[in-house]
Amino acid sequence: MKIVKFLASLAALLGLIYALNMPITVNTPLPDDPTKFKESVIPPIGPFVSPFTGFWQNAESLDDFVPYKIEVPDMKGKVKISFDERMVPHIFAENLEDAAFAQGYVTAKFRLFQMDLVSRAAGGRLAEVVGKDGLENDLLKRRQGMAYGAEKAVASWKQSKEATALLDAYNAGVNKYITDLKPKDYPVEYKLMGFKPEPWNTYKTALVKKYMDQTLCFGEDDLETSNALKILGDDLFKKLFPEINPKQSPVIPTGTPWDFSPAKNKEKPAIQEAIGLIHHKVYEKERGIVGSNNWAVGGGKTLSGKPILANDPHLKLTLPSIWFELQIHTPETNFYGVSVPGIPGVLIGFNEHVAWGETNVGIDVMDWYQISWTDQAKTSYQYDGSVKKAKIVIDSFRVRGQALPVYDTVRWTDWGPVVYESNKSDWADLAMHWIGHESPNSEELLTFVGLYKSKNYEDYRKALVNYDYPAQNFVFAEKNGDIAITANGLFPIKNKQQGRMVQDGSSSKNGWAGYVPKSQVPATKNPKRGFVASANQHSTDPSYPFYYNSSHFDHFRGRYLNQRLNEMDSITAEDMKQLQNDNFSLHASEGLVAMLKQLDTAQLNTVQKSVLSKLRNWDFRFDKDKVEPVIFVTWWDKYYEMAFDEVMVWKDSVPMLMPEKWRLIELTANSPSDLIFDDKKTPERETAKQIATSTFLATTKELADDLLKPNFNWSEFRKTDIMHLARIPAFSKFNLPVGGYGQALNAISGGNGPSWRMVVELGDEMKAWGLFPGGQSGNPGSPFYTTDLDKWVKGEYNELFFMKNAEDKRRPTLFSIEIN
Amino acid sequence: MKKFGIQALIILILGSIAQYFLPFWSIAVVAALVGFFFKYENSAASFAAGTAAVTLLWSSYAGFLTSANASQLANQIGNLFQVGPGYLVPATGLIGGLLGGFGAQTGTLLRKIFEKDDSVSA
Repeated sequence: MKIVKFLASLAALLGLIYALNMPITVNTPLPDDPTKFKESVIPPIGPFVSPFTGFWQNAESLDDFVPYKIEVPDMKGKVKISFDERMVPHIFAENLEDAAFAQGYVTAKFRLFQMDLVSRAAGGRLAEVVGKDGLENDLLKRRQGMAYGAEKAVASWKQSKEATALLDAYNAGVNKYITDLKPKDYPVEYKLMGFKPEPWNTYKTALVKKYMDQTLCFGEDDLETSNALKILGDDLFKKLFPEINPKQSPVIPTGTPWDFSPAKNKEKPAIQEAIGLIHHKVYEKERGIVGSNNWAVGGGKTLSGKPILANDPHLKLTLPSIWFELQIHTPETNFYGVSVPGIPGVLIGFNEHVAWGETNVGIDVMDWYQISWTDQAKTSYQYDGSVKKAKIVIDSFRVRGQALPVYDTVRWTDWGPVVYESNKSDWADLAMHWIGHESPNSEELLTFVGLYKSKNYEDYRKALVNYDYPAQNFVFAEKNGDIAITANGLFPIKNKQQGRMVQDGSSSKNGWAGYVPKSQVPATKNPKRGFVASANQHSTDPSYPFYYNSSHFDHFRGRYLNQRLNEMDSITAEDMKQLQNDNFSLHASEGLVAMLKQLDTAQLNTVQKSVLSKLRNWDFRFDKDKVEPVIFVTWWDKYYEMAFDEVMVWKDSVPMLMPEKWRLIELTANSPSDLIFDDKKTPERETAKQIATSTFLATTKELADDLLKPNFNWSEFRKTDIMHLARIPAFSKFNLPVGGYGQALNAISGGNGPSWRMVVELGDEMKAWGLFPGGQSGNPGSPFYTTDLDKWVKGEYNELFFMKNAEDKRRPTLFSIEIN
Repeated sequence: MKKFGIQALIILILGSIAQYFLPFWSIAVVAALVGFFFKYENSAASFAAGTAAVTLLWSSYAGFLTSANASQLANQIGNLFQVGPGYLVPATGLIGGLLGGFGAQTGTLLRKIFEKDDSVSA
């Protein structure tokens, strides 16, 4: 009897422990469709709720930051890391290698899960930890050759002693942190998702770099453009998709002479006809969301007589942020800026002499080629009149919760991987040729080392030569007065129109004819107008000797920026902050004026007239509490869809290029009776007037109820959310009260926008302000998780604490780490 | 009652040390050991002592951690699992308490097997 009782109790206890130690799968109804269920896994309850090991341990308080020392035998010298009140590390090291170790250590301390997740996402290893939900991403990333590109980068970086030393030190720093990390201190996401951190290595750094490449130089519309030409025909295509916007105000001022004889282009056949309708479903692209502003004003235009530099890169906004702020001080250099967790060094920042920043160039560096297979099994293809064997690569994917791995076969041609593949006989298989698969300069990461060691313009230009991709507009200012901007990177030499559309992959003549030499990339130093600026618009006017294209060039922010900087004088840092937060949009001022001119006001009733009068009195600013932006955007969308009905009708069936906004404004203003404005669904022949009026009436009808609501405004309507990286809603911030617009300098659009705002006033004492929408810590339970979010929402800034030396006591130190 | 208090106190101290180094279920092992070495008249009393001790330990430690954090993380976790954040500390205590209770009871029942006097049974 006693034994039975004991055994019963023991069984109950073991059962309890077992139950508490098992992950639980639950099915929850989807919010948008309650008849469907999403499978989600609740972590094992025991370890997760135990206050000794579970999530409670991640509930951080200021008292947890107690100074400590670590011993590292391999260090060359001593390092001290002081953290200021915003938890920004200020690293004091005797050399850059030790500093890289310290950077790796502190980045892992605050952003380990982010580094891990980003490298997994890029390398196609998400399913290993999240299960089959991650598989779609993994298959696509591997097919797109992210892992391949990363391997090539690793091989190249190894050729550089200096780069290798920095990478090794960074890896050692990250791994020191991981080795010392107890499971109870794992970031809470690991506890929730039930996996653990792996050692860091250079390959993972290269994957993070690929992730950046994919965000910044992956943009193209070749499939869509091919179809647009095929479907619409030559005339309509040319009308809707001109490459030159006459109003464009390029990065390099119009009329800047090109003082070089251009590298010779090789003889090329004329561009092909469209290759036939392409049916493949285009993979999801970060289309049109990536943009940025940067500028530098020379002393002639500033109140202080010293240059001011500003930069705000617009990226997908996430928690934690893509950026991690830090300062590094060595006997050789002292610099401050933002880094990307996983990559050593600082990408945007300033030192005691110069400041620099980047915006994306956006020139198309990815082209698509139709492959003509010579056999049913798709093992060989035609190439320059002979038959070439494809390399068949079988990728395997471990999927959590599944016993067997998933396999995928990718065919690699000389162009690159066949990403779009189909068994249907009339569907073309398409190979991707992307710059991200090219072996980068072995010293590409040293570009930034060169920048933060720079003392003058020559140093800056020298540093840029190492840089290959993603191409960036590197803006520069030096404290004694020089300002410059360089659209820098590898630009393929192409024939006119080449690479706008899918090309025939059976001829090597359709490939790139080398790259523009770095000495011939678009650049300007101290232009007469007294400032340099970029906002992702065209790099040059059409006189630049090399052809380039992109359907992603900006057409509004850049022009407004140049216009404002031209007008401004006696500029202060405060003015520059206001300009970064400027909600004015030329899209609205030009678009609305053109549309209002067409509107037939005789057809309007009193309610509609009151809406009209709102629009007429609008200052074209996308401020958060205004309703006019909502009315404009709603009307614009309807007007656009009706004007371009002949394009829209294809949108859901095949990849189809959409005309750019500026072209609709131009057509409305210059040729309102053009056939394009005819609504194909009606027997009548409409002009811009009819469709502007009917879409205005539809807009007032659609918004009638909303406009009566007292809290209805732009920020409520548009909704800006910043999602946690793993899209865990509880760790995300929703519905932020912000203004801004994709086509305004303050380019907040949904979940994208200024991911870091920085203004630097150069001088003998550098003064700088900056912030990103988040905080230094990636831990949702940290007081430093969203430190600066409220300030970012309000358009306020932090004055950055640029420490002179380790003893600089102008501001308090919150905490410190010493490495011996 | 005194025994109850001493047993609970020992579970508290040994349990804290064990859980610092070992997985969450080590608290049940500690409770079982304490249950085994303390002579209890019945296993229900041992269960109560184990439950009380670990409930107290888990809920007060969780409460301490979350109050220093102004419940920032607890609110998020509550939101994530759709549990009122106020229930998280008691729920944590309850789960720990069950481990402690069943642990202590199992220890006591094991001792009973070796005890000669069978006059008082659970």
